[in-house]
Amino acid sequence: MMKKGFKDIYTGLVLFAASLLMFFYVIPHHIKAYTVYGLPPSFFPKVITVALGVFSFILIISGLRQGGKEAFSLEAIKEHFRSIDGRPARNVLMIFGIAILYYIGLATIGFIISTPIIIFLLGIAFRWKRYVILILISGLTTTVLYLIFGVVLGSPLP
Amino acid sequence: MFHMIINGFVDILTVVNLLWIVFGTLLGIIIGAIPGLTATMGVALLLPLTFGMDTLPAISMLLGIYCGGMYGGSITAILINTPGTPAAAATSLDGYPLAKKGQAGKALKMAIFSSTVGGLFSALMLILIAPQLAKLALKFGPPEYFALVLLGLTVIAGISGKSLTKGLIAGSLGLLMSCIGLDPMLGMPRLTFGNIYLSSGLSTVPVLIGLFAIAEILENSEKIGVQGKKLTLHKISGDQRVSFKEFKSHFLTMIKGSLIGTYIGIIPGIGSGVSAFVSYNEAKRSSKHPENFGKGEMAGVVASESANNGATGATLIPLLTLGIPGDVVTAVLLGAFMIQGLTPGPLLFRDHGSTIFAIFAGFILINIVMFIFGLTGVKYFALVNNLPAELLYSVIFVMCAVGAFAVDNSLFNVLVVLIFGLAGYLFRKLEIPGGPFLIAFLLGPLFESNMRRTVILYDGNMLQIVKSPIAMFFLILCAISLFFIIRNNSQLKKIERN
Repeated sequence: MMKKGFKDIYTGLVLFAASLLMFFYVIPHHIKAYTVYGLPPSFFPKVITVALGVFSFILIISGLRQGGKEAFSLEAIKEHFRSIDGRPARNVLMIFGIAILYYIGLATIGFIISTPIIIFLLGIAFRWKRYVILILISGLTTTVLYLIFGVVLGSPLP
Repeated sequence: MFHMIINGFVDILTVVNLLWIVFGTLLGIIIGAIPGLTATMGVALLLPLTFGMDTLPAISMLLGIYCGGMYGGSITAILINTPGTPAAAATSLDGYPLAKKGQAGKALKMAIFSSTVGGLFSALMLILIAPQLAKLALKFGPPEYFALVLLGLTVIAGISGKSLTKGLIAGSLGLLMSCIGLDPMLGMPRLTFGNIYLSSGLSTVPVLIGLFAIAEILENSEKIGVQGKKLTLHKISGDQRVSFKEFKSHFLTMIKGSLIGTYIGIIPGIGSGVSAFVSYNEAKRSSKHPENFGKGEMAGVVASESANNGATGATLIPLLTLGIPGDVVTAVLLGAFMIQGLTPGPLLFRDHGSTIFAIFAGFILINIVMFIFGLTGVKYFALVNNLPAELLYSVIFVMCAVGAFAVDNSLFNVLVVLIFGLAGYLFRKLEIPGGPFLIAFLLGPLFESNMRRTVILYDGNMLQIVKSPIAMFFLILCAISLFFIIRNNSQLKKIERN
């Protein structure tokens, strides 16, 4: 279990780095700064980025105050990684992977084919073992969603 | 006026009108409860159906969808932490923790009580003070909007939870995301990286679905196969009835929420989502136990539901009296009025007074029908909690993806859902609250455009804002609100330390 101080320090560091990247690279290169009068389009994003940097810095300081100073010790970091139970993270990655597959499926093979497959895969991933019910639910959900979105609402499902 | 409203009831109380009201309200509740489908979409989709219809059944049906949709959003917000509409996002903050405690039935009942009180209150306001309030709303210029939106943004501090810093980080990220798209003043692309889908900005619904629903699924997936952790929904337990004493104890919050909803609803462009958050914040501020908010406090559900339904009648005030649609749904309703040969504006009451009062009477009936459906439906809605979580999560995921796609028939929205789902999950792991992100994302464009207009108006000297009494009123409210939030936070920290 990650210490609260650790978490805050690393969250703060990542966000602080992101705000620097936004301020010095992304905004100057992706927003045109000139204007005829009034504030330029880059003004508001810049102000928010500065605010984000300041709040991230405060988070780092409060993390250090909460006893997270050892977050910078190599031994503490190693100890932290040794204590992590990898299973929840693997589960999340598996479900997110299936979600990405659904996006690819919708774009390539379309709604009708990819939807029942994905519901079936998600059911199995969630350890549902009654396969007949799972197949029935997959088919039924696809049909109902097709009728609501495709037929009644006239949405051109992929 | 009294005899006009009586005549209105006489006109609206026909079997055909009542059937359309029932149909519209029921359909609205269903649409609102489906993630990705909003009341706006429902009204827009059913608009063509009204071409051949008479005025009263047509407008009443569309208003039924509008009000029903506003309530329907709270059902999934409470049961599965998936707000069906943006306006229901504030409801999920305490509604879902209540469901986790086994009090989903009670929360759903309190939501329908609050929605009905809010809806009826706003109907009353619509009838009594519509023209006067609309005149005041017309005085709103960029400085007044700027001050009002700033007041809305102070909500971030109120719903930040344990860490104000993390709430402010979430708010900054929300504002930054709201910058994506075309610049609101000059139309230049910002942070689009050449992607054509980003040029119109990120749609609210996919962001909302990702942040709340997909993040919830991902968080629950952690429990798969982990010993001692079971993937279950939160079974309803104990007495789910709402006693008169409980109703009475929340009545003041309902009235306050209705007032906030009505007031914010009148102002064009702000909308019911913001009113729900402002009302939630006010309920937390004035509560004797602000520490319970976010952990399953019934007053949180009451405040947000009374405010979002309180805004329904109020948004019609500028539409009917001035011909100004305050948001997208009233813009669609403006089209419906025009189709029926009614041109909203100052002359509407003079030329079609009897029809308008019949519509007002219909609006009251819609809220009563919504109450009946909501109350009788609670036991059926709550059945969702008895379904196997493994199947429900699989189905909800697909529903969320398809709902997001249907917003503007774009696969890009599905990608947005996934990205914000992952972001929402990381937020939860890092204890960064999602509410401030959402409120900042919703208010960002309004805040920026009005701030920049104010700067131009005052030639760069923002201090001139003191010249506007309305803006000053909101700025003073901002200061008061911040003072109480900071005081409450320090008191909470003191309690925790002791």
